Amino acid sequence: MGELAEQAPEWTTVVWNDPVNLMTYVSYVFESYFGYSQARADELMLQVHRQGRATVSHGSRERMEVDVQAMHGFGLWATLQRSGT
Amino acid sequence: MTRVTMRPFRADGDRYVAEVGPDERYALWRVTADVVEMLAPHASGQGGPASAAEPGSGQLDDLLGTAWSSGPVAPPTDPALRRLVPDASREDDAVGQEFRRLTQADLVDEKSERLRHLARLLGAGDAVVVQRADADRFAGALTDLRLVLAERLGLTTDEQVERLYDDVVAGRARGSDARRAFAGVFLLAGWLQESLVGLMLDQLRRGAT
Repeated sequence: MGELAEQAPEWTTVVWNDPVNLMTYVSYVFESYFGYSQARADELMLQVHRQGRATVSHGSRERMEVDVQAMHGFGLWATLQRSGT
Repeated sequence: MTRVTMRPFRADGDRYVAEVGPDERYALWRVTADVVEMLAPHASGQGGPASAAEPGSGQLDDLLGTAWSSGPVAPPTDPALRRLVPDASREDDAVGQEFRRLTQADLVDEKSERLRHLARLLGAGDAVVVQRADADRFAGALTDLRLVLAERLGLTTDEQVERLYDDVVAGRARGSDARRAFAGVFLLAGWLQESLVGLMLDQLRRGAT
C-alpha cells in the first residue's frame, strides 16, 4: 500500500476567482483551514484575485477531495486536478 | 431607510454583536428563507431528480437513503444553487460527477443548517449576536446568500460588483423593485460579513502568535 501510494499521481486543489467573495474572507479561509501564515495566505489570495486562480494544496486525490469539499463549504469555487494540468 | 440603527460587528467577550434594523433584518431573513427552500430538494434523504428517476435504484437504496445510492447525483439546474455546489473539475466530467455523488448531499445539508441558524439569529432582535464558535458558519451562510444574489443579479465580474456598490451608495440603483431589493441585501450581507471577518481574522492571528 505504501509503495502504491507513492506511485499515485499527485493532485492539486485550485481556487478560482469570483466577484463575490471578499478578499479578507478568502485570506481567512486560507489561514484558518490550511493553517497558512498571514503572508502566505495573502499571497495566495492576491494570486486568485489578480491571476484568476491559485493552487492552494496538493496531495492524494482523496486528500484533495476533502480540501475541495471544505472550500465549497466556505463558498469558494475550488476544483481538483492532476498535477501539471 | 433606518440606516441610523445599523452598526457593524464588534467583539464582545466570546461573541460578535452587530445592530441591524428591523427592515434590513426582514430583507435578509426573506432571502435566507428562500435559499433554504430552494436547497430542500437537494438535501440528503430527499433523493434528487436523478436518483428518483434512476431505474436501478431498488428497495435497498430506499431503505438506506440516497447517501448510499451508487447512482449519479444530478447537479441543481438553477445556476444560483449550482454555484453553492459547483463542479469540482473543469477538465474531467467523471471526476466532477464522482465528487458530486460523494459530497453534494452533505454540502447541501451543511449549508441549509447554517442558513436556518442565520434565519433564527435574524429573528431574535436588532442585536445580531454571533457566538465566536459559530462565526465560521455565520460567515459561510452570508457568503451563500451573496453567491445566490450575485447570480440572480447577473454579477459575473469584479467591475460589475463595484458598479453596483457605487450605484446603490449614490442612490441610483437601476431596475425593478425586486432587483433593487436584491442589490440592497447583497450589499448589506457583504457589509456585515466584512466587519465580522475582520474580527475573525484578528482573533485567528492573535491566537496564532
